[in-house]
Amino acid sequence: MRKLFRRTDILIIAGVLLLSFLLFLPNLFNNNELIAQIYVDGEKTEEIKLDAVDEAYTFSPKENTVISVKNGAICFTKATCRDELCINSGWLSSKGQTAACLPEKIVITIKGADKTDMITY
Amino acid sequence: MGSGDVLKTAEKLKNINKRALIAVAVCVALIVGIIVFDSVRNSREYQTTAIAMGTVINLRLFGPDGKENAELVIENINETEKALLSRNEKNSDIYRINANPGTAVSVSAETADIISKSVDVAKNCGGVFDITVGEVTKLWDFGGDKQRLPTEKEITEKLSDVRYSAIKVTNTTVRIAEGQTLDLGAVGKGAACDRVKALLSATNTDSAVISVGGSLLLYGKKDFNIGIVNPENDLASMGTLKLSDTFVSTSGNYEKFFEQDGKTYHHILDATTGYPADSRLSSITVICDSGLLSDALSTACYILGYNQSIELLNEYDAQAVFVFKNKTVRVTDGIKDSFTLTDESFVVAK
Repeated sequence: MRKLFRRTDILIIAGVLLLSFLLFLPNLFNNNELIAQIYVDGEKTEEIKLDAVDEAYTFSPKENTVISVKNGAICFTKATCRDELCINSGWLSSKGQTAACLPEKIVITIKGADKTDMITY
Repeated sequence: MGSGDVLKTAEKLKNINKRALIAVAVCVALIVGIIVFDSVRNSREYQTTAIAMGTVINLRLFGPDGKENAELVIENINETEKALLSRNEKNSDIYRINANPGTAVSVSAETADIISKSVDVAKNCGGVFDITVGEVTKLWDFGGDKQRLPTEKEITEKLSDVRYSAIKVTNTTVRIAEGQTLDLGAVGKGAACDRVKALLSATNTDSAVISVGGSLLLYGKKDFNIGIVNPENDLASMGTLKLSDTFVSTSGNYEKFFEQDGKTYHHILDATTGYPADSRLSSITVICDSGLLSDALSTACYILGYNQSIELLNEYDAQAVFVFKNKTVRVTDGIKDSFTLTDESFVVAK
Protein backbone atom coordinates (compact mmCIF):
# COMPACT_ATOMS: atom_id res chain seq x y z
CA MET A 1 0.00 0.00 0.00
CA ARG A 2 1.33 3.42 -0.91
CA LYS A 3 1.65 6.00 1.80
CA LEU A 4 -0.55 9.04 1.36
CA PHE A 5 2.27 11.38 2.35
CA ARG A 6 5.94 11.01 1.74
CA ARG A 7 8.63 12.66 3.75
CA THR A 8 8.92 15.48 1.20
CA ASP A 9 5.18 16.14 1.45
CA ILE A 10 5.38 16.40 5.20
CA LEU A 11 8.30 18.78 4.83
CA ILE A 12 6.30 20.92 2.41
CA ILE A 13 3.30 20.99 4.73
CA ALA A 14 5.49 21.81 7.74
CA GLY A 15 7.11 24.58 5.66
CA VAL A 16 3.71 26.03 4.77
CA LEU A 17 2.57 25.89 8.40
CA LEU A 18 5.76 27.64 9.51
CA LEU A 19 5.37 30.25 6.79
CA SER A 20 1.77 30.93 7.75
CA PHE A 21 2.79 31.22 11.41
CA LEU A 22 5.53 33.68 10.45
CA LEU A 23 3.01 35.70 8.43
CA PHE A 24 0.69 35.80 11.41
CA LEU A 25 3.42 36.65 13.91
CA PRO A 26 3.39 40.45 13.37
CA ASN A 27 -0.33 40.45 14.26
CA LEU A 28 0.46 38.92 17.62
CA PHE A 29 3.13 41.46 18.36
CA ASN A 30 1.00 44.34 17.11
CA ASN A 31 -1.26 43.83 20.09
CA ASN A 32 1.46 44.99 22.42
CA GLU A 33 2.65 47.90 20.33
CA LEU A 34 1.90 51.45 21.40
CA ILE A 35 0.57 53.20 18.33
CA ALA A 36 -0.40 56.86 18.51
CA GLN A 37 -2.91 58.02 15.93
CA ILE A 38 -3.24 61.69 15.04
CA TYR A 39 -6.55 62.89 13.63
CA VAL A 40 -6.72 66.35 12.05
CA ASP A 41 -10.15 67.66 10.99
CA GLY A 42 -11.58 64.16 11.25
CA GLU A 43 -8.94 62.50 9.07
CA LYS A 44 -6.25 60.20 10.38
CA THR A 45 -3.05 61.93 9.28
CA GLU A 46 -0.41 60.04 11.13
CA GLU A 47 0.39 56.80 12.95
CA ILE A 48 3.45 56.72 15.17
CA LYS A 49 4.91 53.59 16.72
CA LEU A 50 5.83 55.10 20.07
CA ASP A 51 8.06 52.20 21.12
CA ALA A 52 10.14 52.63 18.01
CA VAL A 53 10.92 56.30 18.65
CA ASP A 54 14.64 56.59 19.44
CA GLU A 55 15.11 60.33 19.55
CA ALA A 56 12.51 62.73 20.80
CA TYR A 57 11.11 65.12 18.20
CA THR A 58 8.29 67.58 17.62
CA PHE A 59 6.00 68.28 14.69
CA SER A 60 3.20 70.69 13.81
CA PRO A 61 0.03 69.17 12.39
CA LYS A 62 -1.30 72.72 12.08
CA GLU A 63 0.09 76.21 12.49
CA ASN A 64 0.68 77.13 16.15
CA THR A 65 0.07 73.57 17.34
CA VAL A 66 3.01 71.44 18.35
CA ILE A 67 3.03 67.76 19.27
CA SER A 68 6.04 66.25 21.01
CA VAL A 69 6.99 62.62 20.67
CA LYS A 70 9.44 60.60 22.73
CA ASN A 71 10.02 56.92 23.31
CA GLY A 72 6.74 55.43 24.57
CA ALA A 73 4.87 58.73 24.93
CA ILE A 74 3.31 61.63 23.05
CA CYS A 75 1.75 64.97 24.02
CA PHE A 76 0.60 68.38 22.91
CA THR A 77 3.20 71.02 23.80
CA LYS A 78 1.78 74.08 22.06
CA ALA A 79 -1.82 74.98 21.35
CA THR A 80 -3.93 77.95 20.37
CA CYS A 81 -6.70 77.54 22.91
CA ARG A 82 -6.79 79.67 26.02
CA ASP A 83 -7.35 76.96 28.59
CA GLU A 84 -4.72 74.67 27.02
CA LEU A 85 -6.69 71.62 28.10
CA CYS A 86 -4.88 69.51 25.55
CA ILE A 87 -1.49 70.39 27.01
CA ASN A 88 -2.72 69.80 30.54
CA SER A 89 -3.60 66.25 29.51
CA GLY A 90 0.14 65.59 29.70
CA TRP A 91 2.06 62.71 28.18
CA LEU A 92 -0.08 59.90 26.81
CA SER A 93 1.58 56.55 27.28
CA SER A 94 -1.10 53.86 27.66
CA LYS A 95 -3.60 52.34 25.30
CA GLY A 96 -6.93 54.11 25.04
CA GLN A 97 -5.64 57.49 26.25
CA THR A 98 -6.81 60.51 24.30
CA ALA A 99 -5.96 64.20 24.24
CA ALA A 100 -7.73 66.69 22.02
CA CYS A 101 -7.28 70.24 20.87
CA LEU A 102 -10.91 71.14 20.23
CA PRO A 103 -10.48 74.55 18.51
CA GLU A 104 -8.02 73.09 15.99
CA LYS A 105 -9.87 69.77 15.75
CA ILE A 106 -6.79 67.70 16.45
CA VAL A 107 -6.98 64.46 18.42
CA ILE A 108 -4.18 62.23 19.60
CA THR A 109 -5.26 58.80 20.68
CA ILE A 110 -3.32 55.70 21.56
CA LYS A 111 -4.73 52.78 19.67
CA GLY A 112 -6.34 49.88 21.44
CA ALA A 113 -7.57 49.37 24.93
CA ASP A 114 -5.86 48.08 28.00
CA LYS A 115 -8.03 46.88 30.83
CA THR A 116 -10.95 49.08 29.92
CA ASP A 117 -12.94 49.32 26.71
CA MET A 118 -13.81 52.98 27.25
CA ILE A 119 -13.51 55.62 29.96
CA THR A 120 -16.35 57.74 31.31
CA TYR A 121 -15.37 61.22 32.48
CA MET B 1 9.87 3.12 -24.94
CA GLY B 2 7.31 0.30 -24.80
CA SER B 3 3.68 0.73 -24.02
CA GLY B 4 4.31 -0.72 -20.50
CA ASP B 5 6.81 2.07 -19.79
CA VAL B 6 4.35 4.71 -20.89
CA LEU B 7 1.75 3.29 -18.53
CA LYS B 8 4.24 3.27 -15.63
CA THR B 9 5.23 6.88 -16.29
CA ALA B 10 1.58 7.87 -16.45
CA GLU B 11 0.98 6.10 -13.16
CA LYS B 12 3.93 7.92 -11.56
CA LEU B 13 2.77 11.27 -12.89
CA LYS B 14 -0.66 10.58 -11.52
CA ASN B 15 0.81 9.89 -8.07
CA ILE B 16 2.97 13.00 -8.18
CA ASN B 17 -0.01 15.03 -9.31
CA LYS B 18 -2.08 13.65 -6.48
CA ARG B 19 0.55 14.51 -3.90
CA ALA B 20 1.21 17.90 -5.40
CA LEU B 21 -2.51 18.52 -5.49
CA ILE B 22 -2.85 17.72 -1.80
CA ALA B 23 0.13 19.95 -0.95
CA VAL B 24 -1.25 22.81 -3.04
CA ALA B 25 -4.71 22.35 -1.53
CA VAL B 26 -3.25 22.52 1.98
CA CYS B 27 -1.32 25.68 1.04
CA VAL B 28 -4.35 27.33 -0.50
CA ALA B 29 -6.54 26.38 2.46
CA LEU B 30 -4.05 27.84 4.90
CA ILE B 31 -3.54 31.05 2.97
CA VAL B 32 -7.27 31.53 2.46
CA GLY B 33 -7.73 30.76 6.15
CA ILE B 34 -5.21 33.41 7.15
CA ILE B 35 -6.76 36.03 4.86
CA VAL B 36 -10.30 35.24 5.99
CA PHE B 37 -9.27 35.21 9.65
CA ASP B 38 -7.55 38.57 9.25
CA SER B 39 -10.43 40.20 7.40
CA VAL B 40 -13.02 38.79 9.80
CA ARG B 41 -10.95 40.09 12.70
CA ASN B 42 -10.80 43.50 11.06
CA SER B 43 -14.48 43.56 10.25
CA ARG B 44 -15.30 42.55 13.80
CA GLU B 45 -14.00 45.75 15.34
CA TYR B 46 -13.70 49.24 13.95
CA GLN B 47 -12.27 51.96 16.11
CA THR B 48 -12.06 55.66 15.35
CA THR B 49 -12.06 59.12 16.90
CA ALA B 50 -13.69 62.35 15.80
CA ILE B 51 -14.56 65.80 17.07
CA ALA B 52 -18.24 66.72 17.09
CA MET B 53 -20.55 68.73 19.37
CA GLY B 54 -17.43 70.56 20.54
CA THR B 55 -16.08 67.42 22.16
CA VAL B 56 -14.19 64.21 21.45
CA ILE B 57 -16.13 61.23 20.13
CA ASN B 58 -14.56 57.79 20.55
CA LEU B 59 -16.17 54.91 18.70
CA ARG B 60 -15.65 51.16 18.88
CA LEU B 61 -18.03 49.20 16.71
CA PHE B 62 -18.28 45.42 16.52
CA GLY B 63 -19.86 43.72 13.53
CA PRO B 64 -19.75 44.14 9.78
CA ASP B 65 -19.41 47.50 7.98
CA GLY B 66 -17.79 49.18 10.98
CA LYS B 67 -16.32 52.06 9.00
CA GLU B 68 -19.58 52.93 7.24
CA ASN B 69 -21.57 52.68 10.45
CA ALA B 70 -19.05 54.81 12.35
CA GLU B 71 -19.44 57.50 9.68
CA LEU B 72 -23.21 57.37 10.11
CA VAL B 73 -22.81 57.77 13.87
CA ILE B 74 -20.57 60.84 13.53
CA GLU B 75 -22.94 62.35 10.98
CA ASN B 76 -25.84 61.68 13.36
CA ILE B 77 -24.07 63.43 16.27
CA ASN B 78 -23.28 66.44 14.08
CA GLU B 79 -26.93 66.56 13.07
CA THR B 80 -28.04 66.42 16.74
CA GLU B 81 -25.89 69.48 17.32
CA LYS B 82 -26.85 71.38 14.18
CA ALA B 83 -30.57 70.71 13.99
CA LEU B 84 -31.51 70.29 17.64
CA LEU B 85 -29.23 71.41 20.43
CA SER B 86 -26.72 74.07 19.35
CA ARG B 87 -26.92 77.45 21.04
CA ASN B 88 -25.03 79.11 18.18
CA GLU B 89 -26.32 77.38 15.06
CA LYS B 90 -29.02 79.71 13.68
CA ASN B 91 -31.43 76.99 12.54
CA SER B 92 -31.23 74.70 15.54
CA ASP B 93 -34.34 74.19 17.66
CA ILE B 94 -32.63 75.49 20.81
CA TYR B 95 -31.32 78.59 19.02
CA ARG B 96 -34.82 79.41 17.76
CA ILE B 97 -36.39 78.84 21.18
CA ASN B 98 -33.80 81.10 22.82
CA ALA B 99 -34.20 83.76 20.12
CA ASN B 100 -37.97 83.90 20.62
CA PRO B 101 -38.78 84.00 24.34
CA GLY B 102 -42.48 84.34 25.07
CA THR B 103 -43.37 82.58 21.80
CA ALA B 104 -44.36 78.95 21.28
CA VAL B 105 -41.66 77.86 18.82
CA SER B 106 -42.26 74.83 16.56
CA VAL B 107 -39.60 72.23 17.17
CA SER B 108 -38.95 68.59 16.33
CA ALA B 109 -40.66 66.00 18.50
CA GLU B 110 -37.20 64.92 19.67
CA THR B 111 -36.31 68.38 21.00
CA ALA B 112 -39.69 68.66 22.72
CA ASP B 113 -39.06 65.28 24.34
CA ILE B 114 -35.54 66.24 25.47
CA ILE B 115 -36.84 69.44 27.06
CA SER B 116 -39.82 67.79 28.69
CA LYS B 117 -37.60 65.07 30.25
CA SER B 118 -35.11 67.71 31.43
CA VAL B 119 -37.92 69.66 33.08
CA ASP B 120 -39.07 66.46 34.75
CA VAL B 121 -35.61 65.90 36.29
CA ALA B 122 -35.48 69.57 37.36
CA LYS B 123 -38.81 69.11 39.15
CA ASN B 124 -37.65 65.95 40.91
CA CYS B 125 -34.36 67.43 42.14
CA GLY B 126 -35.81 70.65 43.50
CA GLY B 127 -34.37 72.76 40.69
CA VAL B 128 -30.66 72.39 41.49
CA PHE B 129 -30.40 71.17 37.91
CA ASP B 130 -32.35 73.47 35.59
CA ILE B 131 -31.95 73.95 31.84
CA THR B 132 -33.09 77.61 32.09
CA VAL B 133 -29.75 78.40 33.75
CA GLY B 134 -28.37 79.63 30.39
CA GLU B 135 -27.96 83.31 31.32
CA VAL B 136 -25.97 82.37 34.43
CA THR B 137 -23.65 79.96 32.59
CA LYS B 138 -23.03 82.74 30.07
CA LEU B 139 -21.74 84.94 32.91
CA TRP B 140 -19.20 82.33 34.02
CA ASP B 141 -18.35 81.15 30.47
CA PHE B 142 -16.39 78.12 31.72
CA GLY B 143 -13.78 77.09 29.19
CA GLY B 144 -14.66 80.04 26.95
CA ASP B 145 -12.90 83.28 26.08
CA LYS B 146 -14.84 85.31 28.64
CA GLN B 147 -14.37 82.93 31.59
CA ARG B 148 -14.44 84.94 34.84
CA LEU B 149 -15.86 85.18 38.33
CA PRO B 150 -19.09 87.21 37.97
CA THR B 151 -20.13 89.72 40.64
CA GLU B 152 -22.78 88.74 43.16
CA LYS B 153 -25.11 91.38 41.73
CA GLU B 154 -24.83 89.95 38.21
CA ILE B 155 -25.61 86.45 39.46
CA THR B 156 -28.61 87.55 41.57
CA GLU B 157 -29.98 89.48 38.60
CA LYS B 158 -29.76 86.57 36.15
CA LEU B 159 -30.84 84.01 38.72
CA SER B 160 -34.30 85.58 38.98
CA ASP B 161 -35.13 84.24 35.50
CA VAL B 162 -33.88 80.71 36.17
CA ARG B 163 -37.16 78.83 36.56
CA TYR B 164 -37.91 75.52 34.81
CA SER B 165 -41.60 75.90 35.68
CA ALA B 166 -41.85 78.77 33.19
CA ILE B 167 -41.11 76.44 30.26
CA LYS B 168 -44.22 75.39 28.34
CA VAL B 169 -43.79 72.23 26.27
CA THR B 170 -46.21 70.47 23.92
CA ASN B 171 -45.40 67.58 21.57
CA THR B 172 -44.22 69.99 18.91
CA THR B 173 -43.68 73.40 20.52
CA VAL B 174 -41.58 74.92 23.28
CA ARG B 175 -41.98 78.31 24.89
CA ILE B 176 -39.62 79.93 27.38
CA ALA B 177 -40.27 83.12 29.35
CA GLU B 178 -38.73 86.53 28.60
CA GLY B 179 -35.24 86.76 30.03
CA GLN B 180 -34.67 83.01 29.91
CA THR B 181 -32.04 81.11 27.94
CA LEU B 182 -31.91 77.34 27.64
CA ASP B 183 -28.60 75.61 28.24
CA LEU B 184 -28.65 71.92 27.34
CA GLY B 185 -24.98 71.43 28.15
CA ALA B 186 -25.80 68.99 30.94
CA VAL B 187 -28.02 66.76 28.77
CA GLY B 188 -26.78 67.23 25.20
CA LYS B 189 -24.16 64.49 25.15
CA GLY B 190 -26.56 62.00 26.70
CA ALA B 191 -29.32 62.98 24.29
CA ALA B 192 -26.85 62.44 21.44
CA CYS B 193 -26.16 58.93 22.82
CA ASP B 194 -29.91 58.19 22.75
CA ARG B 195 -30.12 59.19 19.10
CA VAL B 196 -27.06 57.09 18.24
CA LYS B 197 -28.68 54.05 19.85
CA ALA B 198 -31.76 54.51 17.65
CA LEU B 199 -29.50 54.83 14.62
CA LEU B 200 -27.40 51.74 15.42
CA SER B 201 -30.45 49.56 15.90
CA ALA B 202 -31.29 50.24 12.24
CA THR B 203 -27.82 49.03 11.13
CA ASN B 204 -26.11 45.64 11.17
CA THR B 205 -23.88 46.58 14.13
CA ASP B 206 -23.66 43.74 16.69
CA SER B 207 -22.43 45.84 19.58
CA ALA B 208 -20.65 49.11 20.19
CA VAL B 209 -19.32 51.43 22.83
CA ILE B 210 -19.44 55.10 21.97
CA SER B 211 -18.17 58.00 24.03
CA VAL B 212 -19.59 61.45 23.37
CA GLY B 213 -17.23 63.54 25.47
CA GLY B 214 -17.19 60.96 28.26
CA SER B 215 -20.93 60.16 28.20
CA LEU B 216 -21.25 56.60 26.97
CA LEU B 217 -23.62 54.46 24.99
CA LEU B 218 -23.10 50.71 25.47
CA TYR B 219 -24.94 49.09 22.60
CA GLY B 220 -25.74 45.38 22.16
CA LYS B 221 -25.25 42.32 24.32
CA LYS B 222 -21.46 42.52 24.61
CA ASP B 223 -20.09 43.15 28.11
CA PHE B 224 -17.80 46.17 28.25
CA ASN B 225 -15.28 47.13 30.89
CA ILE B 226 -15.91 50.79 31.57
CA GLY B 227 -13.24 52.77 33.39
CA ILE B 228 -14.30 55.60 35.69
CA VAL B 229 -11.80 58.41 35.37
CA ASN B 230 -9.65 59.17 38.38
CA PRO B 231 -10.74 62.69 39.38
CA GLU B 232 -7.14 63.47 40.31
CA ASN B 233 -5.56 62.19 37.10
CA ASP B 234 -7.65 62.29 33.96
CA LEU B 235 -5.40 59.84 32.11
CA ALA B 236 -6.09 57.00 34.53
CA SER B 237 -9.16 55.26 35.87
CA MET B 238 -9.90 54.54 39.53
CA GLY B 239 -12.32 51.68 39.00
CA THR B 240 -14.14 49.68 36.36
CA LEU B 241 -17.72 48.67 35.73
CA LYS B 242 -18.67 45.62 33.71
CA LEU B 243 -21.84 46.58 31.87
CA SER B 244 -23.82 45.99 28.70
CA ASP B 245 -26.70 47.62 26.86
CA THR B 246 -26.99 50.81 28.91
CA PHE B 247 -25.88 54.44 29.22
CA VAL B 248 -23.18 55.84 31.48
CA SER B 249 -22.51 59.46 32.33
CA THR B 250 -20.12 61.14 34.74
CA SER B 251 -20.06 64.61 36.26
CA GLY B 252 -16.98 65.85 38.08
CA ASN B 253 -15.37 69.00 39.39
CA TYR B 254 -12.18 68.35 37.36
CA GLU B 255 -13.66 68.89 33.91
CA LYS B 256 -13.74 72.66 33.53
CA PHE B 257 -12.59 75.00 36.27
CA PHE B 258 -10.47 78.02 37.03
CA GLU B 259 -8.75 79.40 40.07
CA GLN B 260 -9.02 82.92 41.39
CA ASP B 261 -7.65 84.34 44.64
CA GLY B 262 -6.79 80.87 45.84
CA LYS B 263 -10.30 79.53 45.27
CA THR B 264 -11.28 76.94 42.65
CA TYR B 265 -14.46 77.43 40.66
CA HIS B 266 -15.69 74.36 38.77
CA HIS B 267 -18.33 74.29 36.04
CA ILE B 268 -21.21 72.43 37.71
CA LEU B 269 -23.50 75.26 38.73
CA ASP B 270 -26.21 74.85 41.35
CA ALA B 271 -29.11 76.47 39.52
CA THR B 272 -30.65 77.58 42.82
CA THR B 273 -27.58 79.66 43.81
CA GLY B 274 -25.87 80.43 40.50
CA TYR B 275 -22.54 79.31 41.99
CA PRO B 276 -20.52 76.10 41.56
CA ALA B 277 -22.09 73.32 43.62
CA ASP B 278 -20.50 73.00 47.02
CA SER B 279 -20.30 69.23 47.00
CA ARG B 280 -18.38 66.63 48.97
CA LEU B 281 -18.11 64.66 45.75
CA SER B 282 -15.33 64.87 43.23
CA SER B 283 -17.36 62.87 40.73
CA ILE B 284 -20.44 60.78 40.23
CA THR B 285 -21.11 58.22 37.51
CA VAL B 286 -24.74 57.39 36.73
CA ILE B 287 -25.92 54.31 34.85
CA CYS B 288 -29.43 54.06 33.44
CA ASP B 289 -31.37 53.05 30.36
CA SER B 290 -31.55 56.57 28.90
CA GLY B 291 -28.60 58.67 27.80
CA LEU B 292 -30.37 61.92 28.51
CA LEU B 293 -31.39 60.82 32.01
CA SER B 294 -27.95 59.43 32.92
CA ASP B 295 -26.48 62.78 31.86
CA ALA B 296 -29.06 64.94 33.66
CA LEU B 297 -28.98 62.75 36.78
CA SER B 298 -25.18 62.83 37.03
CA THR B 299 -25.32 66.64 37.15
CA ALA B 300 -28.29 66.76 39.54
CA CYS B 301 -26.80 64.13 41.88
CA TYR B 302 -23.40 65.81 41.90
CA ILE B 303 -25.09 68.95 43.22
CA LEU B 304 -27.42 67.12 45.63
CA GLY B 305 -24.71 64.98 47.21
CA TYR B 306 -24.97 61.36 48.28
CA ASN B 307 -27.89 61.27 50.72
CA GLN B 308 -30.37 63.21 48.61
CA SER B 309 -29.30 61.49 45.40
CA ILE B 310 -30.42 58.02 46.42
CA GLU B 311 -34.11 58.91 46.26
CA LEU B 312 -33.72 60.64 42.90
CA LEU B 313 -31.81 57.67 41.47
CA ASN B 314 -34.53 55.29 42.68
CA GLU B 315 -37.15 57.44 41.00
CA TYR B 316 -35.50 56.77 37.63
CA ASP B 317 -34.31 53.23 38.36
CA ALA B 318 -30.72 54.42 37.97
CA GLN B 319 -27.49 53.23 39.60
CA ALA B 320 -24.43 55.24 40.54
CA VAL B 321 -20.82 55.28 41.69
CA PHE B 322 -20.04 58.21 44.02
CA VAL B 323 -16.42 59.29 44.38
CA PHE B 324 -15.92 61.58 47.37
CA LYS B 325 -13.21 64.21 47.73
CA ASN B 326 -11.76 62.22 50.64
CA LYS B 327 -11.29 59.31 48.19
CA THR B 328 -14.10 57.16 49.60
CA VAL B 329 -16.25 55.44 47.01
CA ARG B 330 -19.89 54.45 47.35
CA VAL B 331 -21.61 52.13 44.88
CA THR B 332 -25.39 51.63 44.75
CA ASP B 333 -26.67 48.10 45.36
CA GLY B 334 -27.74 47.36 41.78
CA ILE B 335 -24.19 47.54 40.41
CA LYS B 336 -22.14 46.46 43.44
CA ASP B 337 -21.10 43.24 41.71
CA SER B 338 -20.08 44.88 38.47
CA PHE B 339 -17.77 47.44 40.10
CA THR B 340 -14.07 46.75 40.66
CA LEU B 341 -11.74 49.20 42.35
CA THR B 342 -8.47 49.43 40.41
CA ASP B 343 -6.74 52.29 42.21
CA GLU B 344 -5.93 51.24 45.76
CA SER B 345 -5.58 54.84 46.95
CA PHE B 346 -9.41 54.93 46.95
CA VAL B 347 -11.50 53.06 49.51
CA VAL B 348 -14.92 51.53 48.91
CA ALA B 349 -17.26 52.30 51.82
CA LYS B 350 -19.15 49.31 53.16
